[in-house]
Amino acid sequence: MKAIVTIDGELLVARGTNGGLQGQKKAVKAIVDSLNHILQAGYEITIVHGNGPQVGNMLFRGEIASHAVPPVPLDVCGADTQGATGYFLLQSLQNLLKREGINRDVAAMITQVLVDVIDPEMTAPLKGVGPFFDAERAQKYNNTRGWDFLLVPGRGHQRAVPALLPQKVFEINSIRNLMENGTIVVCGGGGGIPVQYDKNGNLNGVEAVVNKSHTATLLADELEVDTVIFISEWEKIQQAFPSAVRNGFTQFTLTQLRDLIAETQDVLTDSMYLKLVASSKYLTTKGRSIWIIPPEHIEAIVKRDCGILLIPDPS
Amino acid sequence: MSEKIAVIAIGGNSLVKDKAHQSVEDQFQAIKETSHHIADMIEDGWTVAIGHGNGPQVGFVLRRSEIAFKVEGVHEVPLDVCGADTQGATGYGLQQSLYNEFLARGIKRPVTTVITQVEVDRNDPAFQNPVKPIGSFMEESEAIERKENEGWDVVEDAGRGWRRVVPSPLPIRVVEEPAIKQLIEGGTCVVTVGGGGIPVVADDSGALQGVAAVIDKDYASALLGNALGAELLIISTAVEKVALNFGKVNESWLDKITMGEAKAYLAEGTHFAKGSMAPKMQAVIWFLERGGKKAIITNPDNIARALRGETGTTIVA
Repeated sequence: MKAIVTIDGELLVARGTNGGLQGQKKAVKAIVDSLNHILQAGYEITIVHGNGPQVGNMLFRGEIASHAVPPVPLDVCGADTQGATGYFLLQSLQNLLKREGINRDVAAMITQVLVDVIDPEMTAPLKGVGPFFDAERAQKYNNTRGWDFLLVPGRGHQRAVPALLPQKVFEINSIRNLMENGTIVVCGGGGGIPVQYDKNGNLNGVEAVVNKSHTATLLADELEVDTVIFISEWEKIQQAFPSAVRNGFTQFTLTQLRDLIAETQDVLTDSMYLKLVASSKYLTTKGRSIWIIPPEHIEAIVKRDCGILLIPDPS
Repeated sequence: MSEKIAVIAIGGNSLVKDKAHQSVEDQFQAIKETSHHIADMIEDGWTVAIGHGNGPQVGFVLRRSEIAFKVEGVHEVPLDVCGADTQGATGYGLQQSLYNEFLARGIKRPVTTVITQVEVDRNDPAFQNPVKPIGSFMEESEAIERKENEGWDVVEDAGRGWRRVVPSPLPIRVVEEPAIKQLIEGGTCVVTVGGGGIPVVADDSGALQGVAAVIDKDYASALLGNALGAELLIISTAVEKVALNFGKVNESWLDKITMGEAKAYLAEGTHFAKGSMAPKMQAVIWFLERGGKKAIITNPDNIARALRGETGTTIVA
């Protein structure tokens, strides 16, 4: 069975640490090792990961060092984190497969996604990225760099960029080529690097963020994969699904999911809300399923003893 | 489509032209120019794997990391992760500008970047003799502290301060070779072994882990070329041709030589600069010894002309 596995960026940073890279390596290894349960059960997986904390760190470093080193545009930050997180996932997966005697290749690929200028979602809420500034600095960057800002109470002014929907994955043929050969592909990191065509028809990076959950379901669509697994923290799952319990799985149909989104959307994190919206679009086709599962219970996908299973409406 | 495979190694310095052009936008402009020349080759029917250097780019990542650590205590970026970062960013730039070139010319080829680890032997003698300086100069006190606490090798550089040095071991395996091969055989243009690859060592069980080291990108590109069964290796650098007695009164430019001649010139030890042309010539020799047919050393602007035999230095098996 094929599945797209989507891992939140927060889960790739060790809890209770300063987000350091050695901690990230360990956190990635822990998540990857837990994927062993589904690999052993015969799942052929493709991995998509978030990059929120990682991009945040990069932007913070870039800002502090901006007097000495040229800054990194947001699209290139995304590419950097696809490289670094891709590397961690790649190596942990290779080591796991070697240890378990599973003969499978792994590849991490830089992925660009088209974000359409005229998409109405362009006007969707802006998302804050990077460090916080005082009003004076925010005004200065608004003038000199053309940045927009959000005021986050108690923390300061944060750069705001549009959160865009992915329309197309440019590297889809290469991903499919490898996937069909049994390779585990790490792709669409951070939702993919957002790109648009300019008036000359050239592709260019865009300073925006892309939601990785929508990228995951888009990839599933294009790769004809019938299962998407979202790995997320238990607390966030419980917020969205108050009836969820640790010792049993809970199933919802698409209609039930839509009702639930309407009820809980005000209390959900952006990330969980977008998972559910992406899921509700994906589940309009029969035969598909979505799992939302905490990292410590990934084996529940096989045992069916924890997590949330979302399915299309019965006909 | 696998009959004509070439590996091209692009110098990291050719993506940063000078001190006034270090911004990411400037780097992307330089990448665009190089992509134009690579697209010429692809239009001629070559399937191309692209290796690239990352010296200046890693320098930028490290500098940001050092400053943010000193000023705000932000965790530092280890060297293997710097390499992965730059593979992502430079790969993205190359992949996007090649996509645009292909689109403009109507070339139907996918282009992709594969994050690439390159295995080095943990017993490579280079680990006993780290010589590659990386990062900024430090005060002696910091150098000693880093040595004691983090195990860095540090050296004093003739009055300019202290610097970290890391080993430069030889590449022995491109870890992602099967995936790269699969893509190349399908006619995909693949960006790989950036910065010579992320250096990793295997423990007794075969588990990989990153090491603080740098791998020569020309050596890694030569190794990749042999693994892919490439017939051609192009080393794109700052000069149009290779010279004998470079910089001396009796300097003479080379047009076409055999591998045997290249070996003899290299053995003389006086023709090619250490750390510059000498390792490029060594990479070429290894590539030709292990199955490659032809290698070209030239600058990006002259790749197409060199392929037609009009310039560049060609070395044949």
